[in-house]
Amino acid sequence: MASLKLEHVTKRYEDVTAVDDMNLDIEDGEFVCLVGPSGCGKSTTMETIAGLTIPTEGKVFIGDRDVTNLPPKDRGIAMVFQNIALFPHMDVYDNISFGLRLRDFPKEEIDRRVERAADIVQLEGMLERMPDEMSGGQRQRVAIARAIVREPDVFLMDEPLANLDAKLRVHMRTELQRLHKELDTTIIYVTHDQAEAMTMSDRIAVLDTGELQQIDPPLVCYNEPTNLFVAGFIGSPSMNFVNGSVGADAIETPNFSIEFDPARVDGVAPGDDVTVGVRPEDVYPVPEADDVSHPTAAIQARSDVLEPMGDEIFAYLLLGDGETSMSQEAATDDQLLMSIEPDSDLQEDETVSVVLDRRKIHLFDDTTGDAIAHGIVDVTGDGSAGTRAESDD
Amino acid sequence: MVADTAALVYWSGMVALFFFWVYGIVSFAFDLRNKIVPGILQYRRGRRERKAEREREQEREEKEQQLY
Repeated sequence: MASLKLEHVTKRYEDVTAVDDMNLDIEDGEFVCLVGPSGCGKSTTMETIAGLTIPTEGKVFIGDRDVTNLPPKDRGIAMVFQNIALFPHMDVYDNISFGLRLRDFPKEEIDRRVERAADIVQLEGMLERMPDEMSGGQRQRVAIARAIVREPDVFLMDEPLANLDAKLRVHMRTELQRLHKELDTTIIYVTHDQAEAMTMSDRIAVLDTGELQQIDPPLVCYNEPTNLFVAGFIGSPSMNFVNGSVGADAIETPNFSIEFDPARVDGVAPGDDVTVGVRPEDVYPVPEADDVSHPTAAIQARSDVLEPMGDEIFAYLLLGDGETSMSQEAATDDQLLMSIEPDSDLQEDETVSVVLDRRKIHLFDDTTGDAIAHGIVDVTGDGSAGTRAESDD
Repeated sequence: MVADTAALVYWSGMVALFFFWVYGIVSFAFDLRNKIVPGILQYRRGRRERKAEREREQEREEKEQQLY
């Protein structure tokens, strides 16, 4: 086990900056997910840690060792790849023991480690099978066992579940969590699937355009995103965003206003332009809003499209004179996405009154996109708004 | 008159005889400049690039195997 640290790591490919001044401090035994859209630099960051890529600037530390210029074999890490990459001509035993045989481990030690790893990933009795005789999940478990036998300081996993079907992915997710508990080793996990990141990790590092946007526990990223990007990326479906401007006692948006005292939030003054963010589950139809302690005034809308998901229904609402849009993102001023109970009797093309939970409304700076406040009511009784967003500086 | 006719036949014969020979040489020179030499250069460049790509892939694979 070991901690891992990236200090001002930058990776440039000619005129493209894949990773830009990345600073990461990962504790011993922590499970950290790197998430972000395609091309955000998460795989390059992983490859920099693994030694597959040498950073243009900055340093990589594993434990107290500076490993920036060390080859992968000397870093004390093992990696599980997205493409699994088993040797097709070797049986499971040989595949798992490949790294140990390469390092000239004694036969008894190899046998002991392979048996233990096979036991951990539940591959007992399959050691003589060939890869083409196994399912995708079993092959992925072989790849994980191959990493386990090395007993590395740090595990790196680069989208290891991406090629599996949805059911197997959920199953393997649980397996990986169990594995982490059992091994208690530092794991860095790259994924673009935020459900994987939310369910498995101790902390999530959200990346965009090569820059670290936020690194926090999953629920902190969800409830207190540092900026518009994190707010929009974490959570499915995405958060609703509406442009607004701060008035003397309310935030005015094109289709509704929200009661708000600007004096209670630092950095906001009447006249400022802000982006209002609210998650679909914090939008309530008026009949079901009794439990909302700090609702906004009722907002008139028309239901556009309903998407029954089984355990909930996503209702796309049109505000004001909003035109019907095929967009799946509730990202325009004239749309609002609401999550409602599956037994709701709301129909398409029906007028509906909704309220927002003011404790769950997020405010973002219209220019920088940085979060200003999470919750715009006084819930603490000390005169402050729900949660003030921490400034970076 | 006869001499003029003989000269005309002579020069017509020469032109008929050598035209395609000259045409072939000029055409070959243009082909050499515009097709053959660039083609050879491109082939050699492609081979170099493929070799470098193979080496990069091999190096990458070796590095990945160090992580197994």
